[in-house]
Amino acid sequence: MPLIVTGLSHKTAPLEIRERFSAASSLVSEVLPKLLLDADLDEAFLISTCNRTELYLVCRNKERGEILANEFFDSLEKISSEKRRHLFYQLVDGAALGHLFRVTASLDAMVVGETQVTGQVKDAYERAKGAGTVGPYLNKLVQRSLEVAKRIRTETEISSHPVSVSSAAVNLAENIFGDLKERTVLIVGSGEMAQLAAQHFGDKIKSLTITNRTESKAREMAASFNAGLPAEALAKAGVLPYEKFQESLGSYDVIVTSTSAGIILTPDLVEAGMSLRKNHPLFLIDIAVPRNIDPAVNKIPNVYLYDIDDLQGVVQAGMAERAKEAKKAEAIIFDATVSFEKEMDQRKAAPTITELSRKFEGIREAEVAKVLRCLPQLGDRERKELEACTKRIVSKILHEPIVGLKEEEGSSYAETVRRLFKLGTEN
Amino acid sequence: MHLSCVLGVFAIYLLATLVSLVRALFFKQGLGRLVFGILIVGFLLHTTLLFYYLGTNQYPYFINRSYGLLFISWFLILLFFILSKKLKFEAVSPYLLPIALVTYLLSVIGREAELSGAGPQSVWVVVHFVSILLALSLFILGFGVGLTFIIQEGRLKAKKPLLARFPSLEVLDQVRTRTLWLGWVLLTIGIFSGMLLSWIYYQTLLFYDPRQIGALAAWAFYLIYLAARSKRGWRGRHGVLLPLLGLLVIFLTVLAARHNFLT
Repeated sequence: MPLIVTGLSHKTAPLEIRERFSAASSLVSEVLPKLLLDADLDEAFLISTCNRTELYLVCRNKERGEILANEFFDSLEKISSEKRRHLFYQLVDGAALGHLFRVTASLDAMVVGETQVTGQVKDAYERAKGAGTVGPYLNKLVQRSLEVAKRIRTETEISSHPVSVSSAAVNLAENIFGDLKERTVLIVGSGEMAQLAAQHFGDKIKSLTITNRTESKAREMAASFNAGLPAEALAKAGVLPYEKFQESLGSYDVIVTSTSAGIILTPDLVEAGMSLRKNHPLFLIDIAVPRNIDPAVNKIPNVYLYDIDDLQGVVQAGMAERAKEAKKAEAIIFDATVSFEKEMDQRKAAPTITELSRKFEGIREAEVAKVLRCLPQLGDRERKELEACTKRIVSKILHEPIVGLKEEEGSSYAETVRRLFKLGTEN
Repeated sequence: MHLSCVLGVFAIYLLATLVSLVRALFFKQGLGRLVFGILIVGFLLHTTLLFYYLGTNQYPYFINRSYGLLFISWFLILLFFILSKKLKFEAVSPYLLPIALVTYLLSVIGREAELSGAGPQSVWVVVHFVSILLALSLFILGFGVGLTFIIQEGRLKAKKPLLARFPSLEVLDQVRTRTLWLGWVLLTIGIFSGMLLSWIYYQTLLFYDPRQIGALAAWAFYLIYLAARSKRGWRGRHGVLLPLLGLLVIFLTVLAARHNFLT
């Protein structure tokens, strides 16, 4: 039964095209079941995110499946076949399998290793299940793709490295402090970068304080930050008067500076703060240009200073590591694809194996019964030995055909076996 | 049979150490489970050996330095299991396992004369031995964790990529401090029980012998460090030198020195 995937993604189509084919979740429950009314289609599953829309079909006839997929996308937005050739991709069988594994494991994502897409695939699967368009094959396939994604996350470092300056800052903070739930963060400045940093620390921390030379801007930023927090979040942002921030250095574990004021933190000030902190580690993130923190501060024991270039370096190193890890992940996906295909082939062979075994068992039982009628004088022991012997003969005869059915790819071997032994029609 | 067990434990620990080094050097994270599995087998065999010696040795059981080192290596492996499970700190294995392996090897090849059993017959002898040995094991672990801290912290200061799958600096520092505190308490118990034995059997608190002096010196080093850390914030790499000195002193004391009154 061919598996076909048809779709477009950030790799093949720009945003203005992708957004036209973005399918709302309500579409799944309306359109997909109608697709399955076609006799040649058994199962359907749709993934639609900001970066891709892909339709997976399990069909009896490959050509028919391709036509149905094209009709589906035409129903969203009609485009010329010339344009479709450039914007869309269509993969079949093993290539389609491998593609779903890669998508779920975020190898096909805009940022390789980002974990959001796995959740999106799971949500899409739940919607399709709710709409009744997922059958045994897609059920097994999607479950397997989620397992493979989990295995890749466990066995590789693909999701471990930060890919943005803000996430690099949070990542470094976690490398210093571990769990950030008891940590306090001070943001100096209220520019865009400062706001991004605040958002990234989000509700991971104990408290966030904002200070700025213009206090009203600090209050605005705090209000905006608090508005974005979930109701149960504890880390509501507060405001610190600017004139007090230098003497309060000892109270914060992480300080992010993003002002245009030049150097505002010198080694003396930081040493004084460290003395109040009893040398507990202090993480300073200077994302200002020109810098706000004297680079000599990094020499102070238990103080870790990262400027914007350092954070970019972390991001670049992270991207390079992810690319390396992606190769390991591809190897896992290749193995998983081969293994899944083999498993499905064996399942396909199962009805033929059962029929073959039943036919031979029927012949064996009939012949044994004939012999026993002709030889009524046989005792229990002889009868048991006759049963065992004939069973062994049948088992030995069927061994090679059954192994062949399990191991041979494709349905031609099974068809040959069915014809050879005149078994019922193949499902 | 006994010799097979002894060699078997060494071979298993050697294999686990090599695999953990490969894992660390070539970032083969998948080997973590293999290391764990191999160590479990070795640890069970090692435990069997320990019980065998407890059953066959006379009181006070750790009748020479070799058995003491055997116990230390056993305890280090146990500490590895605890750290791995509690803190997901498998990354300590490249440090801890070689130390456990060398300690075990020393216990096997460095045989010395056994105590005659003519010494003090008191439960305090066992308390003294066990607490000193446990303290030494914990100080060794503290050293390993401290080394890990220095490496990670150095990379952070130098803006180099951090070694993956290590706990945070804060966790490393806490583990080291707690380990050293626990080790110091056990060392205190060990010194106290030793002094008590001296008093009961020889009517003197101190013999001014190398082991007593060494143990007291280590005790002082650790006390100064732990107090300074608490009061003056001796954190991070600044707090490495004194504990290292303390470890060297007590390690040499256990390995090289001998109580005067036993000669």
